[in-house]
Amino acid sequence: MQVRIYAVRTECGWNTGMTLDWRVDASYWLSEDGRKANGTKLVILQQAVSIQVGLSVLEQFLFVEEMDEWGKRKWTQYFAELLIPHRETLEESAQLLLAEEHLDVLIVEPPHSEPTSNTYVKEHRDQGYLVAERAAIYMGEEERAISNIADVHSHQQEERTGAQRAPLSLYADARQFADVMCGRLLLDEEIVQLLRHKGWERLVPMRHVLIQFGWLQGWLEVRSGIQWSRESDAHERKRRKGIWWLSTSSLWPFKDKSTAAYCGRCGSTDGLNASSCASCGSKRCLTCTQCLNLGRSRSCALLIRGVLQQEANSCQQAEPVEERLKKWSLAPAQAAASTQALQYIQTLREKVRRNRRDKLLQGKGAFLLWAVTGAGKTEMIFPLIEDTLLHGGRVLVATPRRDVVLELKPRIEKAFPVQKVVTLYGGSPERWNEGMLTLATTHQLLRFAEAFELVIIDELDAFPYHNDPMLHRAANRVCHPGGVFVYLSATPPESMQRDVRRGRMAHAKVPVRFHRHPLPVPAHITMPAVEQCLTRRSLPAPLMKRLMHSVERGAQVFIFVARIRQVEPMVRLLSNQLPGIPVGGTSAVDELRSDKVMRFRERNIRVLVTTTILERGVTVPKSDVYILDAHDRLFDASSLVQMAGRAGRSKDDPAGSVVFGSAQWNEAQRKAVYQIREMNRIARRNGYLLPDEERRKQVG
Amino acid sequence: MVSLPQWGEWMEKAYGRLLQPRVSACFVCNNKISGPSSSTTTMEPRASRLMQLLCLKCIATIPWIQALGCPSCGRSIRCTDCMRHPLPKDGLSANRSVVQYDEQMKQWLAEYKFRGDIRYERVMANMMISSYSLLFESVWTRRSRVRRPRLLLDAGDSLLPDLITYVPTSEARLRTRGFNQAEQLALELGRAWKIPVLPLLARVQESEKQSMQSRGGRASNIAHAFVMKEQARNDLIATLRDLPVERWKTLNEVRLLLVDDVYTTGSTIRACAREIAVWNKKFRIPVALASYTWARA
Repeated sequence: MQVRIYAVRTECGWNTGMTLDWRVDASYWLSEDGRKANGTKLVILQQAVSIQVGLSVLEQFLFVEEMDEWGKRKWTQYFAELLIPHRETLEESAQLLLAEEHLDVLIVEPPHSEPTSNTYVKEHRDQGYLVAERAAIYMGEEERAISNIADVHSHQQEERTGAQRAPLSLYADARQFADVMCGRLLLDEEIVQLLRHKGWERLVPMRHVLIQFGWLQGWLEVRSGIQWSRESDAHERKRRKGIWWLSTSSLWPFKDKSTAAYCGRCGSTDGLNASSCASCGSKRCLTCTQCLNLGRSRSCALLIRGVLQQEANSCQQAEPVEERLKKWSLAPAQAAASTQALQYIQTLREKVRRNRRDKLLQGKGAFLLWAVTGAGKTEMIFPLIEDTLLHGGRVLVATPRRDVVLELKPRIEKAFPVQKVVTLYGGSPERWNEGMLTLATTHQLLRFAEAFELVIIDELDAFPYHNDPMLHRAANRVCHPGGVFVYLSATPPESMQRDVRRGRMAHAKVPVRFHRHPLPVPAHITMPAVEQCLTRRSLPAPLMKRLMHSVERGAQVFIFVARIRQVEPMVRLLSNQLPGIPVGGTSAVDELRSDKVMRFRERNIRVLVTTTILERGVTVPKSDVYILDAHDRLFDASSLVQMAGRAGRSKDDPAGSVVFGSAQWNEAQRKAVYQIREMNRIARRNGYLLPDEERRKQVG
Repeated sequence: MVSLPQWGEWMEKAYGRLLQPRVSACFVCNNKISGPSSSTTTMEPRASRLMQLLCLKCIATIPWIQALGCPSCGRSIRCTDCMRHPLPKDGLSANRSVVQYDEQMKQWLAEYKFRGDIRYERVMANMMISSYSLLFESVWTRRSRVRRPRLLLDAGDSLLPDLITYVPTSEARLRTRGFNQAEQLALELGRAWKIPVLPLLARVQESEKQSMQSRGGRASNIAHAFVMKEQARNDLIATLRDLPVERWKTLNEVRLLLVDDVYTTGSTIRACAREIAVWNKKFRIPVALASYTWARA
């Protein structure tokens, strides 16, 4: 992206700017729309520079008293000086273009302004302003300009005498564009797609005009794809990390912290690939390889962020919280948790209202909904969504996987029939739609910034969200200042559990499933490693006994193994041991996975051998779970809890059995059992469990 | 004078390099690249240059062209195209390609060209460098060795071209994409072999993307898309003058290598070749033109 840099004389002295289309700036600064013009003089550097150079030149601009008296030569000299450090980063051919002798400035003043000194009389007769004026008309009323050039000429003659105004249609188009861009963070290519999708093909060639206009109005922010963090940012980031004193860079006292480049879209500081670039002429144009899947963010790419503040709809104060909760028919434990979350959001909202003036004080709230597997998390978030919508906020529900998005969509649409629900995932047809309610995979968040008042992150401990700093940053960014994160998980990561224990994190626990039966506690069978069983071609007798029992009682059996390579042999072994029982196996490398899961659900497969790939998101009524090699290091406490959570999910068979088969009893298994027991204990204490007799009646 | 902060940064980088483990990730599949293992013995010998960049699994999926099905266009199967329209008619002695253009390779090229993942550049260039002597054995006869320090260059030295050029793209596309993949590959080859790379051709006609076209469309689309650059002739003569004296003694033809990323129907390369072939009428020394692409559909 090539831009021009300019300086403008305003009432408060000399200011500087960068422009994608200087004609917009000329009309913005110099036109007198029935009031005093914003500026009195505009000095534009004729040579285009690439956007990253433009942005950093802006920062170096220093206001000098004498600038008022400077002429063309002096300004050229000044700009050349500013550009010297950047010339070295360019290829030779591009360097030549920015050599001082090739530079030229255009000085534009309104025709009727009093020249500040006699020397400028000549310059003010320059063609420049005429061009600017003509251009502004052209932009605004493009069609007419094309159809009747003569007409425009006469039009322009009139305009020259009177005050020149920004054409209305340009304002309207730019405003409309800014509305659509609100909360988005897009590259230039994506903006083209967006405009095409909206059917605004005519705006595509003029998009830079709109962007520039929106930027001047403060509706949009223009950045380059790769940015350079300033010292304060780097410091800030480090402090948040907590262990800043461990990082090497802070140990080195001389390190210039201002030189860290990061991707403006995904925030990654590593994985930036430098290459020479024909678009900007730079020798080291950086490309971010971390978020390349969503389009190429590079040093010279144009990255636009919509920051238009839409006034929140007046909050329609409806029924009190208790009334609203009723219609979702939640179980007592669910209702309690939802109420807690709503209270938290409400207190935060009041705090924000008090500090409205000071935007810096508006932190982002976080609330953890720690709900056991099968607790009915989706139902619990409905009241939260409704509450935010009532207060005129936008809601995002982010889940790690695309199939979850597709599965969630009909449920949410049913719960909120009035709302337009937008679903976003890779290749989603609704990519450019906007609505108050958005369902997205976590990767899609990279296209948003400060767009949502309520961000619900489902399964925050699951791949790919877990341990991916890029997605964490993205999630953090999409939340509006003063907004709230709600994390949903059955097994929050260790750091978050610690925060909960120390009272640092607002949270609500839902210790019981929606059917109000306790979670099945895993039993332990000591058995040799799976590898050994497979070579010996036999499974230990106690395990076989329990397996037979499960199959005979009519349960569907999950068998989890640690390695993909063990799945097939295990299927063969089990088919031998359980004659007449259909056994299937699936893993991450299986292309027929969803098909097999479907057959398992339909009871065409009775025993399914699988890996951690099915540890979450699968609900099969009446199922028992066997985890073999439970001591394997691939199974941590949270994945054990998740796998155990596959059992006993339905109302009709709430007491499925869970077996850990392992050679050793280790920390992870101990922790998992402890967590499950602990949740059952809390449930019993709070009286969420059904009374014993009733439970026994149901289990039979 | 180096400023203190800059020093600090250098030192930090140096420390970082010392301390960090020597494990790199394959950028195609993101898996860890393990060192040479027992399976290397069965590996394609040409792949050894890729060991640093890709993991063994990804290397194993590369569909190298192992045997020439068509001596003219370098396809791995017998080729009816070249029977109907022989390449020499367009002034091209032969084409050679490194891999078959299967789905996997299409994916790679798309990542590189359209997504702009420039890390593929090194992989492709390395594949082209390591396959060169094998493939061009059948195109050009070996020259007697002219350069003394024979240790520096491999046996392919005597097969190397005198000049490299590439298929150009239009200015507008270069602007948006930021690079021309053919140029980048040509530059890499030139750097590795220390052979001059000249931009002889220019693309005048903004055609539709070739990858969007059918066979007939491709040929007519591209037919008049290229012209010789004005200064090309002077550049060529200037570069030839710089050739070592020993080479001049044995120079019976100027070997010119035309580089592109993929040969599909050959219409792009044929169109370029037709432009260059004009020289054969003008020069005393014949220009032997062969093309070298990374993939052959």
